Amino acid sequence: MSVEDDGVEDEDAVSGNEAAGDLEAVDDMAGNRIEGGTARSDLDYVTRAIATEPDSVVVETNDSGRAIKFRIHVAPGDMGRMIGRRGRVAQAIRTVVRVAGSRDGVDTNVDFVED
Amino acid sequence: MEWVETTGRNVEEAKDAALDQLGVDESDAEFIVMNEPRGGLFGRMRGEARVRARVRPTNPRPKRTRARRQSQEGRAPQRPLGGDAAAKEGTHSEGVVSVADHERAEELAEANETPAGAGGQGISENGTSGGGTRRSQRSRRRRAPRGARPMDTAGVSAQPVGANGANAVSAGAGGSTLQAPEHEDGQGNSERSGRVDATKEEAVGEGLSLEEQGESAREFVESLVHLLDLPGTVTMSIVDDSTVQVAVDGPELGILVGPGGATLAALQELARTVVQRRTGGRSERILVDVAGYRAKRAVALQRFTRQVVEEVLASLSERALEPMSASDRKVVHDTVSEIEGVVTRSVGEEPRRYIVVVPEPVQAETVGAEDD
Repeated sequence: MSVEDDGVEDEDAVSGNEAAGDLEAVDDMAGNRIEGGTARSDLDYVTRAIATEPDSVVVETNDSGRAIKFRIHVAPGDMGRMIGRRGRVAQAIRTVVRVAGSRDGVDTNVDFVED
Repeated sequence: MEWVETTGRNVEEAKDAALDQLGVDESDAEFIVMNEPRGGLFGRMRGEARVRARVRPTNPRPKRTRARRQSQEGRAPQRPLGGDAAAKEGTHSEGVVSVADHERAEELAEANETPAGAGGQGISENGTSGGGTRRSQRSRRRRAPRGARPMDTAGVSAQPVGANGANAVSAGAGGSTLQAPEHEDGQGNSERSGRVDATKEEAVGEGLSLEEQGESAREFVESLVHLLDLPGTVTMSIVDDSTVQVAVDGPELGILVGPGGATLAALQELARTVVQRRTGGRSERILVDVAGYRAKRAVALQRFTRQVVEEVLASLSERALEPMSASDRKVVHDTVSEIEGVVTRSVGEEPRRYIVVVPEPVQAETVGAEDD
């Protein structure tokens, strides 16, 4: 059964519908141009799919160290959702991003920041 | 839906034991607190906590839930009602606490358990007002697409809404933030309702049918698999009337399984979270499998469990297993429960909670399940 009208499932819908004002996200959706691009687009996708306010999700990247550091900013109302009970969702996000990073041969580090 | 009854030194412990047996996350379960231990001298607890739990049913309306329960729960038709109301208030207040910090939400939820279990009135002011807003929103949303049954929508308030902290927080975020996605869901729903038959419509949890929830999870997993540049097909199947499974199949998917199934577990957690965001807090059981890993692991785990049981029966001494996930523990519990002379007990805190296999006569009392 189709759920396309809900607009959160595929990449196009995410960037078109929800990340319209977010140049960074649109840029990264194009693919693997930056180091750790898989991890980055993976992280973008997952966090926006979980957030009730995907427009407020900002992913900050810092790859000066050994591992790429991602800092995720979300709307205050979405913070609990991102972290989950006993941090389970946050841990799941880290796991999946680590797998994505391993596709590009990079270590990743994900932090959640409340604005 | 089947109820399990468990005991523990406190309600939290009894709930954990119940979740073990059901093999689901707390947000997918429904509890009735049957008995709470009272505090005694020097912090010693007198009596044990006893809870009844089941996998949360498909239908969010209490009327029908109660009818179903009575037909299936002939054992104690009177008692659960009182305890049930208390338990529901308990979970309800958990669901609506409006705080931004999830840890505080958990603390509050725990704090609420005591009064809720005792009197059923232990909702903080916070929770009550939050509940009001959420409720009215919900009614509006449910009424809009279907245009019917204002009484039934009011009944939704009695049902636990989003029992975990994460949902509590989003609920607390208040009216405006929730509007957008709910509106979306509402539209999708009205559009789809033509294709969904009447019984399906009854079974809709928060506006999305089991099949729609499964499809939503499937699309999420599929997008993720593609983002990871992995070849693989992603399919969805309905396991039973409250469970869907999303399966990824293809070559070289070991990376998606991870050590001990860790990546698989993460995928499942995320898929469920995404579906819960779309339903507004609740979902059916959503399982994710990769390359048949789950089935293979269950078989291996059953074999291993039977070996352990044999050793326990031979030595008559208990044996602790490695920490396992709730779903793995369920496999062990199920396997052991089929064998005479041994019982299981879960010990420790998540994520390092583990099972102890115990020869029956020695520990039967502390295990506590009413095996009559």
